[in-house]
Amino acid sequence: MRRTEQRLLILTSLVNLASFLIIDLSARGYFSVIGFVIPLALAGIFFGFHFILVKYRPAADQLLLPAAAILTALGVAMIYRLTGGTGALQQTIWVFISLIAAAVILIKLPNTRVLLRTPLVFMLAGLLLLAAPFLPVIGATINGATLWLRVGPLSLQPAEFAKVVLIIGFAGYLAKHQSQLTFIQRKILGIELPRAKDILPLLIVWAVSLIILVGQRDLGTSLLFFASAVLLLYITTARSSWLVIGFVLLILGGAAATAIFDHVQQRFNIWLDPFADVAGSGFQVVQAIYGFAAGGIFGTGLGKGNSNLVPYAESDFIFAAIAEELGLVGAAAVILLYGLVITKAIKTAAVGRSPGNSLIASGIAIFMFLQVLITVGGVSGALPITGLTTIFLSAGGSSLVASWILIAILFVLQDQDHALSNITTPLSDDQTRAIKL
Amino acid sequence: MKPQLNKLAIGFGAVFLLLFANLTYLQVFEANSLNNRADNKRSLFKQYDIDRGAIIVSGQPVAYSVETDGRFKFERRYVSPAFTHPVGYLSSIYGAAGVEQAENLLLAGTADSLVVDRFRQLLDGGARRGGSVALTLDSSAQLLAYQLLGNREGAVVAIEPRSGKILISASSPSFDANLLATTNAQTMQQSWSRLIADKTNPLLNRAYRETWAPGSVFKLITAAAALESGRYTETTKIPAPATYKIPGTKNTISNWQNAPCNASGEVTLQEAIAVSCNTAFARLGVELGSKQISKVAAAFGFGSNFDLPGSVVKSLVPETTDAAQNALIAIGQFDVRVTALQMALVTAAIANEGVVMQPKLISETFAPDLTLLKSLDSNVYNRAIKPTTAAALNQMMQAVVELGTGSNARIAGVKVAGKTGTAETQSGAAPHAWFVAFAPADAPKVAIVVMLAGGGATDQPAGSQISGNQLAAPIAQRLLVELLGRK
Repeated sequence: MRRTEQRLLILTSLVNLASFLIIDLSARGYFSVIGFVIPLALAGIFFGFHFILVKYRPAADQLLLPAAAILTALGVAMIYRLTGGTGALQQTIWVFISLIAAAVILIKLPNTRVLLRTPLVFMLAGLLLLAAPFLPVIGATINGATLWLRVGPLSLQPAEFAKVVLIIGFAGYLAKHQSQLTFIQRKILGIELPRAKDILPLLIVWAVSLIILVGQRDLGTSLLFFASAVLLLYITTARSSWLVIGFVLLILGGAAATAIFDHVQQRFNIWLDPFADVAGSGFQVVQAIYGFAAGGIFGTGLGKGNSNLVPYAESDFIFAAIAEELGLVGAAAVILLYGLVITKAIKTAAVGRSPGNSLIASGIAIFMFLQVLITVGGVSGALPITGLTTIFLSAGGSSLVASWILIAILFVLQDQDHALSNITTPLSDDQTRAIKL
Repeated sequence: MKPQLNKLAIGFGAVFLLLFANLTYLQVFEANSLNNRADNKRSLFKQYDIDRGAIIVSGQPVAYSVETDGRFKFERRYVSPAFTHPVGYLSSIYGAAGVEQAENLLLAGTADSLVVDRFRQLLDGGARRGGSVALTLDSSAQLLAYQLLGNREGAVVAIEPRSGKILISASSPSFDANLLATTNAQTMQQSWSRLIADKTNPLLNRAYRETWAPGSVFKLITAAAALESGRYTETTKIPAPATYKIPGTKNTISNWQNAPCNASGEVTLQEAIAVSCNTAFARLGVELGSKQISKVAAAFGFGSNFDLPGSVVKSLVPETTDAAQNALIAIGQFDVRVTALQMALVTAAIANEGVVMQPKLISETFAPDLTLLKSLDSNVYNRAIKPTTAAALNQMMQAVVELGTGSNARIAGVKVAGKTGTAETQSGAAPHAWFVAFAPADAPKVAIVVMLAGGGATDQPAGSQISGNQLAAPIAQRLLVELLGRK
């Protein structure tokens, strides 16, 4: 009956309630109704999802939901702390929408075979989603990046959904062409090179990434797509030559973009020396870095930091706010939770019953890993700043919905692969606590 | 696919470790230096969470913190620009100055002496409170001095000769410190840009953060050096022609209006001071040499920073063997540079039988519960000159006011000792007007220096004592009356 998940969710909900009460007390000085309502609503949403898992996907892993739930709930708490009740309420509604979307997948998606059947359709759909912000009327440019669709009161970032669709499409494509991509034509300098015509798909992805970078000024998504494609190719073929080719293309594309486009160059310069222009271009990163320093090991305490000094603290820079108020300890906990989710995805890939299933799970793992790396590395000055959102934590709906859809797909994979191996015997708690490699 | 996935998992783990290492570097190893960077607002914002202690003058706070409803708990308030330079300011962006800076630990409540209070505050909860600082300034005299300086550039310093207590430390132009202490960042930034762009430099504390050419008030030190050398007494006759030709050079030094200082062409040292005789002092300078003069100057504190909040700029007498330069040094020209505070210390030492007291601006410090922490003692800085020398100089300075160039400093019923000065800076530029004085001359209670930078009229040649007497002496006189009236 998924007892482990149940107990961990109770713990998650209590910790979340406590964090809201602490924020009320330290930042406002009194308890508010909303400070009780939001944690209770979140607990309700997560337990509802838990019961759907019990009913529809009993064999899925039991740690994944609590891990993703803690991150999501922490995100809402930080948004509450940084922007107040309205922002937190909005995010709670997005959490509800995200888990409804995930639940629909749990209930309606029989298995992953339908996803793998028509990879080119998925890839085309993904490209259309990426291009959607350039459509008249509903397309919108915010902060210089053409990434948005406006539908009534909602702003959606179709690129977030494009990520989901493209992972599936790419996994399907690679699964179909696994053997020919592994084919080696010649060796140069000890590197086994694939046939020229097999490199074509990668070159297409590379070109699309550059178009995203240039057309939408979105360094993060561009990097994400390309690096994911390269890593997935490597997993499919076990040929490290793909990594080498990918790296070379990355450097070439990056160098060209840096040389030609001011906005890429500026990001790069800020990264090299954020303190060169503390009051100007380096302001955001430097403020975030000061936040990390102010947090120290144990943090200033929830509600007691000055995270509001960082522009976009509740969205792109939410990790810096967490590190300031919860310290290195809190930041490390967040990284470990991401690590847990990603490890679960890799394990799901490892026990996948078909190359397609494994590749979807691998794609999810790679996508999540790269997003965490690019955002956490960016706000802490280790990498150039990109516009990527910190998955599960950042304010905003599109990324959250997309991330939970990926979690739901992992649940479907876990359950179906497990079900195939245990068709008749019902599962005990011990067997489902963790899926072994 | 398992081998690739294993490698991927290891790679991911390694990258996460690097991220963690970077965070550890930022949050542990580099945290301190990042927190202390001047442009880091967070550390400065912390100061707004503290109920910072008051700075008190004559029993009334001149700088204090008030609770606000905004995002910061407390805001700093300052009562008058008259106190800005000694008291300083505390700005979240531009740092601190003056007593606010020097006594920051005590005012913020983090000083070691407040450890018991901090523990008590921890138990009651609530905001951290700081200790208070009482200054030696005399509130109404300080306000009057600032008012008398008006829109002129200058400084007034008054010292109690026996204790070294600074009673007045006024500097003009000044500014409203509230503009830099406000919690409104925009107001603060605009005010700061305006202050640093202001050509009159209101941020400069002219009482002791800048040195000036002293002109004839420096003759007190030359006279002291002459008396201390044992080769001269106050009655020694010195030739005082209309012009003095410096030996070995073609240069000459002349008196005001090119007249001899005395009909006989000879003056005593006392007369030379009284009429501020340039030719007599130039000759003294050549005969004594700048080495002797700078030795006595050093005894008065030249070359010292003292230990005052905001730090005192060193006053300076160059040493040279050039006769022409020695002659100019003796009358306070050439490269002699003094702070108003240093001249006040010289004057106070003459009043105090030759003993320079360590100048002090802070009289007492208090714990957050207003119990006395420390009452600052009066300390001797140095016995600069012999009591007999001091007594002789006292007599000479009385003659300046009674018979000589300092007539405007006279106070009915009180003997005043003084010395005028008009310092040429560069030809064409307006000279500085100086007046130094102490009173009552027979039992000195206050020593005072008034300096008006570029305050003298340009149409008078250097050595003319009119500016010092006309412009600076009346201010000194008013303030002496104010200070003595209640002493």
